[in-house]
Amino acid sequence: MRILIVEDAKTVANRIIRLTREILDTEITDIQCAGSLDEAQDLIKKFPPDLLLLDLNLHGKDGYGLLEDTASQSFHTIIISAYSDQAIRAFEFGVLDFVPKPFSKERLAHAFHRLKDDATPATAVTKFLVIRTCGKTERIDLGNILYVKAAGSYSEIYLNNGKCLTHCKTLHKLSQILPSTFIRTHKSYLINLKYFTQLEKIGDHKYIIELGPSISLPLSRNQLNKFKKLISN
Amino acid sequence: MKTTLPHGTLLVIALFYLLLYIFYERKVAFLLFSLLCLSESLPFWNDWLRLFYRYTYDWYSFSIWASTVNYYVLSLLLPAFLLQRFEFSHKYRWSFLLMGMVVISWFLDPFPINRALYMLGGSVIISFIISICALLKKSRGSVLSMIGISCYTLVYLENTLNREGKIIPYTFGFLALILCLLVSLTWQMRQERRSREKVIQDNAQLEANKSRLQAELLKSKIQPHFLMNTLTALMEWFETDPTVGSRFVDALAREFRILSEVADQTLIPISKEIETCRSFMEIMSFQQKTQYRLDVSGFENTDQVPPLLFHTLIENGITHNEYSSDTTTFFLTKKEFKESKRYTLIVPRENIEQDKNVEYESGKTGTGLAYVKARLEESFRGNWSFQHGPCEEGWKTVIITT
Repeated sequence: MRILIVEDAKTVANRIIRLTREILDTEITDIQCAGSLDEAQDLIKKFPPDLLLLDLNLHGKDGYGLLEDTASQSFHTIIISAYSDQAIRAFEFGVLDFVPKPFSKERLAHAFHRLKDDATPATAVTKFLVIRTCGKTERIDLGNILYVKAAGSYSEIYLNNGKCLTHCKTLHKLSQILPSTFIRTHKSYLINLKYFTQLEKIGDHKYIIELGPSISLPLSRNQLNKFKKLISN
Repeated sequence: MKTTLPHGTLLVIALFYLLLYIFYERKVAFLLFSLLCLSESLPFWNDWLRLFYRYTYDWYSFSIWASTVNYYVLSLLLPAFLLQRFEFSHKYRWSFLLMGMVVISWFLDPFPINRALYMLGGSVIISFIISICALLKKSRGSVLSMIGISCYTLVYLENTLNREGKIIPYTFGFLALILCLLVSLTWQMRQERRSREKVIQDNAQLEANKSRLQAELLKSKIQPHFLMNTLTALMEWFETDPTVGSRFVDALAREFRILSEVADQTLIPISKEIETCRSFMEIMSFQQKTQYRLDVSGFENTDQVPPLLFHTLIENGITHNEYSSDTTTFFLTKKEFKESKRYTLIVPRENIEQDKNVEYESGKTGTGLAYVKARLEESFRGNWSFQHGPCEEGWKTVIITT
């Protein structure tokens, strides 16, 4: 795993590096550290990381511009900031976690655990997905998303206006940051429960999910019971 | 007995202003005004006294002398009061004029009463001139005193030139003058009360500003970026290198000790200010890649500056720059001129070409600069200037106080 740390205070950066090495140990292939936003942008371009640890306040500059940019990319972002009052705003961008300073090893480990498959689902307050098309970033309101479909190392976002956009994060990564209204119904699908209309049986142990008036998506067998339980609530 | 009313009135006014002078405010104008009224009403009380106690003829000439002296006093009191009322400077020049008048009137006529009349005439003329000057100075109430003096002059002329048939008694002329002066004096009291209230109000405002600045100063040390990064660094040292941790806590304690010492002061010795700067730089040196130094020149031990003036600017400089070299030196110099002092702070910058200067003007810098400017205004009241901008060595801030 390639990790990029963006932090301007030397001692704090050292602490993040040391603790990250202790927690993730052999999983790490490379750790880089950037002291400014410009340096961070350069490093992201040259060596795209798998995980970004970002401080939102660098040399008096606001890091939201960089966050907007990185939110659209394939890797996860964890915010480490002194301004805990900005957590809600940061979460809206779809960050994996917000670690307020000062932080212990346990707190950082908890944040890294969110990367794992067996992690408790995010109580995420993600408000929108940032999507980069033609070099420009665009914020897509979660309420407008019907479902997300896996497309290799990308994801296809289907909107209620019939459009389809591509996001750099995998379906798995998106499922980690999207709120609980988004349900994994199939290894390739993540649906927005808001648009669910009905569950239809089309054969022996075969079900399809209908979204809105005209969309039908498959429901995988091992998700059936979980899904039934969910909609009965 | 029909002239008892004006004289009675004058006596009451005299008494009232005397009491005002004694118990309310020791204003010379009050005392002069009181004496003026008293002096004018005295001859009447002399006549009145004679109704009950007929002193013998040998006392008569003394009575005339006393009355003459009283007129002289009256003649001096009127211009003296006006000078005091309209706050004239160079009062001694006017007093020369009055003394001259005393001498001239004395030699103009051998009869005491005539001398007194000449003296009174001179006094009226001088009072007239003083009123005109007050009018030209646009003093408040000068129009009113002009009217009063004019009435008095007319009655005086009528009384002096037309000795046979006086139409208006002299006292009424004087009473008109006194009434005008009374109103003018009351106006002045109101004006003074208002300006006093304004001073109280201004002081309250100033006090409020002071508390705000104090809060600002302490807030800068509990703002999350500084405090949380510091606590994180502490955590790190306690886990990896407690010795450095202890040294850091020491530096931090020193910083806070100085801060609590200077927080409620308007001006502090420059040595204290430099101490706060250096202790802050030491704290930052612990946390960043570079060692910060402050080079100081041109200061004297007696110099005083508002607390955290340069500290705030240095803090801004450190926050907004990234230094990668081993040591980074800031330069603080003072130059003294005839009527002004110039303080220059140079914050070095690396990668000047890449930097956008506008960054300095926006964002979090705003509060820091606002603090610096508010402190300068508090201490120097408009007699200061603040300029900053890029220079060859980095970023230059120039503060001039006069």
